[in-house]
Order: sequence, then structure tokens, then C-alpha cells
Amino acid sequence: MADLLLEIGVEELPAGYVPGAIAQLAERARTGLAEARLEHGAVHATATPRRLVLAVADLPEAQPPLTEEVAGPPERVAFRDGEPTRAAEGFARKLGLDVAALEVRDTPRGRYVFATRTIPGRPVRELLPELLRAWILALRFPKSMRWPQSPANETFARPVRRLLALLGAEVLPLDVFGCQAGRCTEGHPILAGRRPIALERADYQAYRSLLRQHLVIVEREERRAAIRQAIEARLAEAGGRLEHETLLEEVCDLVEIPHVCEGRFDPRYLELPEAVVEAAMTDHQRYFPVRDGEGRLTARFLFVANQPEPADVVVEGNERVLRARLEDAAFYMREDLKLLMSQREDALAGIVFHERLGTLADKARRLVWLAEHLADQMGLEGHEHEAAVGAARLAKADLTTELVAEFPQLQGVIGGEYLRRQGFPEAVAQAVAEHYRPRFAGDDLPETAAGRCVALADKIDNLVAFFAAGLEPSASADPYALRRQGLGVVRMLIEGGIGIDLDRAVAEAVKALARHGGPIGQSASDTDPSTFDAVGLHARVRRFLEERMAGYLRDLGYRYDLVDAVLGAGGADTSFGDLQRRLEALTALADREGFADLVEVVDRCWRIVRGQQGADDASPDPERFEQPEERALYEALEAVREPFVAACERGAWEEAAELYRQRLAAPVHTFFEKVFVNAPDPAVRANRLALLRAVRSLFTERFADLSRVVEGKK
Amino acid sequence: MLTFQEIVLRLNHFWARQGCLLVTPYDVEKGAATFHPATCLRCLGPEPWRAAWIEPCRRCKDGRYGENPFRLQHYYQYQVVLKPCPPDPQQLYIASLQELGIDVRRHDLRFVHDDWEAPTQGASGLGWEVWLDGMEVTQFTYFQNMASMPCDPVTVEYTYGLERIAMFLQRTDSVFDLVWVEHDGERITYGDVHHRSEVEFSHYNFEIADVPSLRERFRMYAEECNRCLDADLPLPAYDHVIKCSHVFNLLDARGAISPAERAGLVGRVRALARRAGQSYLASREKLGFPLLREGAKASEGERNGG
Repeated sequence: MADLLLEIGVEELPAGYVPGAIAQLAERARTGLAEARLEHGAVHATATPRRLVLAVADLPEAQPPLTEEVAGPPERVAFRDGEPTRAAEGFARKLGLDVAALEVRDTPRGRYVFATRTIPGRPVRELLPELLRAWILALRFPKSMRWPQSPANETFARPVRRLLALLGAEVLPLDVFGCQAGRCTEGHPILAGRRPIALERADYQAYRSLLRQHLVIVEREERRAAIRQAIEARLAEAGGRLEHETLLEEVCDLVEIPHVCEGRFDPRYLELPEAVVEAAMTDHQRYFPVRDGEGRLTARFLFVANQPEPADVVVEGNERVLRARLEDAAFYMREDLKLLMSQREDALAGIVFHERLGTLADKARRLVWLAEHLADQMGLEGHEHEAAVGAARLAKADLTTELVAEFPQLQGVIGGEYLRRQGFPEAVAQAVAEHYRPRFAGDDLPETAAGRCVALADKIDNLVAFFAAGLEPSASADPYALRRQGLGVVRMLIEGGIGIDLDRAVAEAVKALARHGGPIGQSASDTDPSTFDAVGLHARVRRFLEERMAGYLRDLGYRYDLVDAVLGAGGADTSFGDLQRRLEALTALADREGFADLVEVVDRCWRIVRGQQGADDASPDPERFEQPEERALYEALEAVREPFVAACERGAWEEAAELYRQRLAAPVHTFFEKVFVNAPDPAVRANRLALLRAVRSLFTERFADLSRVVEGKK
Repeated sequence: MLTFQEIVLRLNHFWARQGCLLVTPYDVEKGAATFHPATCLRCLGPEPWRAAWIEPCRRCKDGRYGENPFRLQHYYQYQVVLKPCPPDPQQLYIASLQELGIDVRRHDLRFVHDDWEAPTQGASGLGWEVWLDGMEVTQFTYFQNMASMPCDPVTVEYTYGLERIAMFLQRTDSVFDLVWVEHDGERITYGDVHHRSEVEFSHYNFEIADVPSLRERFRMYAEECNRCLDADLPLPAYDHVIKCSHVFNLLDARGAISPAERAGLVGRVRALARRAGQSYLASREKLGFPLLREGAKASEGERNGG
């Protein structure tokens, strides 16, 4: 038994690559060892910015021998009169066996010759170098590079300069990236001075403490815990708590030996919008803001140095850098505030939103148009209505400011701050500030009704406009983040409980585009309406939103076929508002007895009518019924129609489903037993099909298309 | 305290000792030292190349009328290119900081992920921004592509932000307070040298530069570039690539480029850079890659001598 230790010494890896590299290395090792039939103890991978480490405990001396059975020629070919033929001899020779070792066995195909051979296991020390090489070269990064010391086909995230590969006390002859493995590691690149430090044997704990002596904490979890503890303690002193988990992960992969330091800045910079001060710290400098007990920013920040005991100059230097950033922002804000947000129309007209979709001024006009429509649909009144429309008018103004050019991720938020400072109504400022929400998965929805109205208008306009310009997302690329925006619409409708008619909203967006759409709008209204297929556009956007909706619901854990069924319901109701409630009811029904019967009613009708000619909404003509079972089904259908619809409208979905099953299951099944649908007389046949369509569509129109249910059918 | 010009002198000395050719700045306006033919063209092909120099650069859009202590429309880069990239380029870089009197053990030196791309040059590389106590002082890049061709062997490029390093060393909060030279107690500052030009060029870049004539110049330079290429003259052709790029930057500062137009203009410059690069490489090949031969001879001489 021996332990393995591998260290890939690399120039600073991008912090974002490190967690993935650790996971991949452990995974490759586990799979690779299993494929090589090697028993092993714990597999552990870790990393610092400058080293990727793999430790495997308790590897055997050699692979176990492999015994395998090989099928040979049929007995009649291999043996004549009990004597082996040339065929048998050849087969045995090929496997390195004696003819006497061959066996004959019965198989379903007849009697055949078999041989059992044993391949001896290879020594692990001989096997490992090629395995390690393969695992290392199989690591994948978002971007990889070439460098002169490495062969052209051996690329990595950054140049690899050093390899340590030990099995027990023995150096493994591993050669990759132009490096020959040895038994030496290095400590902290600056403080330990890049001297080789020899390791006696592959002992991970000894390696770990040796590196600790040379100012490297190799264990990522240990570094992260140390940083977390120090930061949380400092934040708690001020009355705040840790809010930046992803930043913590990132700084953990920017240092080999962390030390949390505190810096200060001039409190007058707190007059800047909080989001700006925070972004200058977190995005640009990887600093942690410090908040007080009331959640207000303080004039302090925390940063993580790559030194055990940083000198004062390190703190001073970092303070100077942050001061420069904040001074820059303050300069931009002073300049920006000289012009009222409401006076930025010329500037908006000078910025192209998209070459085919006009300028930002056009975008703002569409936003106003659509926000007015949505505010009406949402039933906003008085101040809220005014705030929504006012915010729509001003929502894009901040895109012409210097501060947004500097902090593009704060679009909207900066606009809201400027509006507040320039004395615009708070409701308008807030709606502008939050109209890009939700900006990412898990982001909050806008808080105010006006904010939601403008946010919906912005996203629906983007979808319609980019679809109209032929810029729909492809399977692999979504440069305008339309999927995210579609999902934002879905979340606002469902989680925000906004009961609007989406089809009407999309129709309004199409209208707005025709009026204020820039080149595309002009081509539609003036010259060639066919370039701007309003009907097709509407349908494509609708389908796109349904797909987002389906994905959203599946992610919530609903069965995919039930999601399809609910989304497949067509009819008058096009809002997504009650969709989740219908799905919830269907999900509950699916677990109950009788669900298969319910599905069978609809599905049986569907199996006959699908692929047959005839309109979905053609009514059956009672005069043409020829058999009592036809009439019975028709009467049952008409009798249940009213209570079923009423139950649906009340939202009593389970009651509606029960009614449908109880009243229609028996007549439908009797119908199929007694009535021959495909009657020779085309008129009779068409009438029977129309009856079955009517049975199916009663449920499908209002509730769900049960013919899409896959699981739990009869 | 090192003055601004002493910093340049020390870097010159350091890199001269590493066998670098001290080239002079290129006499065409440019946005970055990467545009200097000693970077952009010399990094193409198999010939070895080591060079270092100070380069004045223009970022028309970054002008702030001399009112912002950290932003300039004209600034200096100290540029080093080494081809092929040596086996330990980080250590070499750290040694250059020590040459400037920076005690790296007392400061927090970091290599933070920053992949570099220059769309007009069809160039990209992987590397870091180097942080010194949180301040970005150098862009450190392993070139992977230039003029839309893979770099083989790979060149390493260090681009020092001279003003930032000087501000770090002199501990000033305004670039204009940097001491450029000091003699007999008399100081000349960066502001003395450049403040007025920041004011004037900010006015020019943002307000005065004539857009129609800039557009015309862009067209003329692009055409001239193609004429040179048709005449198999990659070096004059490449000059016009740089000129196109600078005119583009001026148009951008004037706010005259829409996003859609931007992609088109960038694409045109990139196409010219690619043609010029290909033509340059072909001309070097025709000459038998002279520096490669010299290099081979030199190392042969070494072997014979040793």
C-alpha cells in the first residue's frame, strides 16, 4: 500500500477556474482509478491559485489480475474426431495458451470453444504516470493557452512550471507540459522566495504542514473558513453581516495565505449612491463593504491580503486605490447632475438601441406606450398609474450618464438615485431603479406596482422587438439575454400574481413597435408590411414565453407531462395567472384513484380524431345521430357543460375534473363499444368525429390537454 | 524617491541587461504600445524578438479636461515584449519591480485574472492585471493571437502603467503632482508637462474634431493601406492600420459612432490588420526570417566557444 501525491505548480489560475478544477481533478481520479481496477482509500483534491493538488490514499502495489473469457470457433471447426484442428491451435496460440486449456461449452448458437485467460495486473508505479498524464490533460477550462515550454497540443489555463508526483517515497516518471515531475514543491511565491522544498514521501498531511511553514495554506476549505471567520467577526463588530458569498469564494482563490485587513475612506464619499460605493469596492477591488446595525454603509472596508502580517503600507495603498475610484465616481456624478434626467431626450435620440430597432428615444416611447397599456390592465390608478407612465418616460435616461458608462451593472439604480436627487417623485424614482429586475435567477421582483409595470413593459418590448428583428436566441447563443427576460416576465406574472392578458400586451407591444420601432417599424407601417409579420411575431413570442413558463414550472418540481398538459390548454383564457393553480390541481389529481380513467376519457377521443379532417370547433348535429349511444353521449356532454364551466371559473378545479369523469366516462366507453366511428357515410362519420372533438375540447379548452399526459395512463 | 524619468531610466537599464533592444516610440498616434510594429508585427512568425521602450498613448475618450486626477487622454506605457516567452516570466517581472526599489515582500503583489483582447488588431491573449496593494500597475499577457493569426512561439508582453507606478512610488493622489524631474531643489511635475495638453486635447477630442473629415480620413487611410498591400509594402500598409484605429478612437470620442456602425468599423480595421500581418509575415519569410538565422548562428557560436 502506498499513497499518491500530485501537485501541479502553475502560474496564478483565474480565481473563477479553481473550484471547477478541483472538482474535475477529483472526478477524473475516481473514474480513472475505477477504470484501472485499482482499489484505493480517500481521494482528495484541493488548490491554491498556484497549485492544483491531488492526494490518493492506500493504492496497491499492482492492479489485480484480470481474468477474462474469450469465445473461439465452433466445436465442429475446432475439433475433428476429438483432435484439435489448426483453427483450435491458432486460437490457443493467439491467447498464449495450450490447446489443452480450451473448453467446449453449449451456447444458444451451438457448441463453441472457449478459453479463460488471466492478464497479470501492471505495477501501479508503472501505470500511474500515464493515468496522471491523462487526467491532467483532460482538465477543461473556460479558456486554455499555449506557451513555448509546453508541446503545442498540451494546453492549460496558465503555464504549468513545476510538477510533484510521488508514490510513497518514489518519484513517478511523469512528463507533461514540458515539465519532469520531481519531489519538490514551493512555498509562497514572494515571501518564501521560490526555492524548491523537497518532500520525503507522499504524505498529504506532512505536505500540508510543510507548506504551512512556507506560508501557504494549501487546503482551500481552511483558507475559506479563516477568511470567513475574520470577515464575519469584523462585520459583526460594526453591526452588519456577510452579504457577499460569491466574493468570499473569489478572494479565497486569490490568495495562498489570507489576512483580513481593514481600510477607511473619507466619509464624504458616502454621499455617492450606496450601490456605486459598493460596486467600486466589490466589483473593481474585491473589497467587502462594512455596514452598521441599521444596514447603512460605513466609511470602512475589508480586504484580504496575500500575506500573514501585512505592513501598514499595504492598507494605505489599498485605501489610495479606493479613494481614486470613489473620486472618479464623485466627479462623474457632479457632471451628470448638472443636466436634469428629463432633459436627456436629445442624448437618448443620439444613442442607437439596435441598428434595426431605432434609438434609445424610440425605445423610451415604446416603453411609455406599453406601460400605459399595462397600467390599465393591471388596474393601476391615480398616483400609481402616473408613476408607472412617468417612470417609463425616464427609465432609460441614465444610459446617457457618465456614471452608468462607468458602472453599467448599475443601470436603473443610478437613474433612480439621480431622480431622487433632482426632486422627482419617489414612486417614479423607485420604479426606475427597479425596472431591470429580476436581473438574474433568484433576484427579487420589483417591489412597487409601478416598478412591476415598467419592468414588464421593458421585457415584453425587448422580446417583441428582438424577435421582430430576427434576433431570437439560438440553442447555443442568447446575446440579448432574452431567455432571462422571458423568465422575468413569467416570474412577475406567477410570483407577482399579475393577472394580465398577455396576448393583448404582446399585441400592444407589436403596435408600439410599428409606431416607434426605428427602421423595422418604418418598414412595417410605410413600405412593406410583410417584413414585419405581426401575427407570426405574436405567435412566436407567445410560444417562447410558454417555453420559459414550462421550464420555470418544471424547475419547481412539477411533472413535465402535466406542465405540458396545462400549457397545452387552449382557449379564451390566455393569462398565466391561474396556470399554477390549475397545475397544482392536476398534480393532486394525478396521485389519486380515477386519474387514469379521467385521462382515458379524453385520450380515447383523441386517438380517434387525431389525424382526421375536421375543425376543432365544429359542433355535432343531433339530427344526424343514428344510434342511441351517440345521443346519450351528446346529452351527457351538454348536461355537464354548464356545471363544469362554472366550477372552472370558480377555480374549483378538482370538482370540475370529478364532474367530467363521473358524467362522461361511462357514456364515452359505451359509445366506443357500440358505435363504429368510421362509418361509410362521410356525413355520419364527420358528425361522430365532431361529437368526440367536443367531448375532448370541453376539458382541453379550460383545464388541460390530457392527451399530453404520459405517466399513469391505462 | 524616484522621479518619473528615473523610473523610465531604471526600466531601460533593467531590460537592456536582459538583452532587450531599446526601441524608440513609434511616430504615429496610437491607443496602446501593442500597436507599435515592434509589438504587433514582431510578435508574428518564428523569429526571436526582445524589445523594451516607453510609448506615449492616446485614449481620446478618457480625456477629462485635466480635472480628474486619475484620467488622461494621453499617457505613457512602458512596454516589454519577449519572444519566445522565457521559462519564468513572472520572476523576471518581479525582478524589474525590485529594480524600481519596490520591496515586494513588504507589499501585496497579486496576479489577477484578466484576459486581453484588442478587436481592431484581431489580437487576444491570456494573463493578468498585476496588483500592487490593490492598484493595477501592469498588464501581463501571453499573446495567443495577433492580426487574426496564432502566435507561435508565444510572446509575453508586459505593459507597465507608468503613471500608476509613479503614483505608487511617489505616494501622490493626483497624476499631475508627479515629480517628473528634480534638480537643485527645482521640480518639474507631470502637470507642468502635460496639464495644458490634457485641457486642449479634451476640448479637441470631444468638441472640435471635425466628424465629416475624420470619416473621410478613415476612408482614405483604409484605401491607402490597401494600395500599399497591393504593392507588397506591409510596413507602410501597417502605418495606415494604426492611423485608421486612431481616427476611429477620435470619432468614438465625438460620439459619432453608433453601436451598429462600431462593429462595422472595427471589422474593417481588423481585416486590414490581418492583411498587413499576413503580408509582413510573407515578407519576412521571403527574407528567410533573418533574425532566426542570426539567433541560430549566435547560439552555435556559444556552443563552439564553450
